Amino acid sequence: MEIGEAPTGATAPDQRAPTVEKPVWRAGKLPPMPIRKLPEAPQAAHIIGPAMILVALGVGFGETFLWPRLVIVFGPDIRWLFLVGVVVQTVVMLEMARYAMATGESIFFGAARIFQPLMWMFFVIAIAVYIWPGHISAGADAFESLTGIPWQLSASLALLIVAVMFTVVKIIYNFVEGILTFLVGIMVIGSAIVAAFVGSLADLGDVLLGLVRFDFGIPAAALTAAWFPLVVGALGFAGPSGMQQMWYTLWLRDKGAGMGAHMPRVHGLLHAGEEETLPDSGSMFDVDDPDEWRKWQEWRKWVRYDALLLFFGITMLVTIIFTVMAMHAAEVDPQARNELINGERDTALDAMRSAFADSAPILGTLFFVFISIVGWKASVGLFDAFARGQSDMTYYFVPGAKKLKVSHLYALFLWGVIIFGIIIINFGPADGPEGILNVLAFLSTFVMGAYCLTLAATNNRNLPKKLRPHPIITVVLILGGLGYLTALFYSMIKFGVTDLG
Amino acid sequence: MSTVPSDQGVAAPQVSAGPLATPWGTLSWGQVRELALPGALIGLLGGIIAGGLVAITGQSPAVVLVACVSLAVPLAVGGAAYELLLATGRAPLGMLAPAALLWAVAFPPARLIEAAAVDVVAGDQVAVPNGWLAFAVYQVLVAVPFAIGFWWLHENFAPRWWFHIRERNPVADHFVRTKLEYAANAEAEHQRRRERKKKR
Repeated sequence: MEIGEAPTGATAPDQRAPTVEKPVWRAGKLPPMPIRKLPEAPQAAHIIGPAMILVALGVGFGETFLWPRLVIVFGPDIRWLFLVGVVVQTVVMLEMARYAMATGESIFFGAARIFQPLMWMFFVIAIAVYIWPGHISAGADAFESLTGIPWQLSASLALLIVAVMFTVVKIIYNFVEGILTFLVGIMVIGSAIVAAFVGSLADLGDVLLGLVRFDFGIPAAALTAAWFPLVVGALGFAGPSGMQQMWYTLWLRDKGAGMGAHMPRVHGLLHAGEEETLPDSGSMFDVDDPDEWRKWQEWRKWVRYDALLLFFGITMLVTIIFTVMAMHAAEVDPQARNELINGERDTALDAMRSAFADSAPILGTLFFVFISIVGWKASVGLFDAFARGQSDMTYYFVPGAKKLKVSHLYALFLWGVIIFGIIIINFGPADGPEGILNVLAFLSTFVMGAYCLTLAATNNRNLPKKLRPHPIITVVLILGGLGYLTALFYSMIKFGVTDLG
Repeated sequence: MSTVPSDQGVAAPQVSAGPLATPWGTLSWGQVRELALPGALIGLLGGIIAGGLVAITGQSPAVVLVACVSLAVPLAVGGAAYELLLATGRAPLGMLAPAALLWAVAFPPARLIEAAAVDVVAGDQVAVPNGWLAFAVYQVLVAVPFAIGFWWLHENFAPRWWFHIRERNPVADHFVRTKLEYAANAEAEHQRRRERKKKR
């Protein structure tokens, strides 16, 4: 253990506690982390981790709509960019896991250890971007197309059901994991069934080959005002978008991964009395103890399975199938192709549906059923994620908040966002006020660049030297962060566009 | 993530004669049915996703029924067959490869039956796009993601059902014991490796 060795960096406060009774690891000005035992990693590699929740949230708009649309416009060879985007997100995911499993802290706490205003920036962005119930409207719209039930009614009811479920269950994480495990299974089986009806061997071959056509580069047409913002948006939506990766650290903690095992789990409000009080900080293990190091390596192996097989594998699988579907739609219905190229999201979704329906009536319905499932499953995860992240930051950093339990704060944020959502669904703009839509879209992509850079700093400054990422990984994080931000600002300055969807 | 002691399996009653002999006892029809249930339900689910929703597309009741049944039933049969392969010890528990192999064989015919049945009921000539060979190869490839989804749901939900019926089904009891013993063995092996490393 490198207790006493200051990590490189401006804060440089990592010292052995001066009056040493209990060893601690110091990082930043926040409370030091006590040294505790790392639990054993699960021996069965296939015990699922929170990557499954990330898949449930991440496989959505980008995979089912943005990328298929780009493929229709530029051809399947543009998909090498998708591969790059998902690889960067996989690296980010593994690095988020490094911090969360080594400390039991969220990335928000890690950011606060470096510079507290940075954490507050994420707090404010989360409220600005995620209080709008726009994400549930896609699923509810599709549901209305299928059943005729007004989307406001189904969306409001769904919001209430989600809030009640998260209030009455004992351990919220277990419930979210169970329900999303089922929905991800349905999504994979459903994708395969739909793919069995549409597409062909040739389409599938083109899509797979396109993933590795790095020589294709970026076509000149993609660098125009009409398409560049969409290419950037699609890159941002390859895998988890917005703040989803940051919330992954909180799910890891509740799963009991690594040092997260020493942190109490968030309970539903009705069981708040059973929740233990959160400690003042996370904890650290003795990295110089060979046995502890062995356990750490096994935790890394477990999370790699989670990242590569569940996250990377299922994300690639679903998006390949949806791209094959879109190619088929464009072949069957040339008018749908034009609408996909020129139309807005809703028009384009309708065009894809009508193209499938031309092929077989059932397919148009299936497509909307699918979009509906994708919308609902994302919403279930997002409400939990938002309440989880905000309550964590509030508990630790708002004076007086520790008088309450995290479960109380979680319920406060959950019911707050649900009630606000119901009001907005029925009386306001679901995606947010027209005037700030561009700002919200900007923030959603901006936060991805910001968390890549934050993560690079957090893992290199808050962790003992032995636990820090390889320099190449740090370079990938920095380049990824700069890449998102450069593309976003280029789009804004050169074309004046920040709405990337 | 906690492990459970391996002595939690419960000895299930043995049947002396029945339709299915397994290494862990002979099963009655009722026991076979309840054992086949998870796989059949997941297969059925796949069929319902594709076929059941025709009902709200305004098709004739005949087409609705045929589309539903012709895909859901073969997939349910395939799912049940997977359970029986597990029960007879022909496929190992918990591995993806046997499920992928089963569906690579069973999925294309199921899809073919559905396409042909719908064409017949609609009065069209039975045909597939791009020729039979390309169709078959494509369906085999698509069967793999279907198998992944099937295996995913099976691994996560079937053990709960086995646990529920273990007292009256020797194969389910064996599955529960195997899962628990796997965890215990993995832990023991882990401990041995740890001790070997310490000795070095």
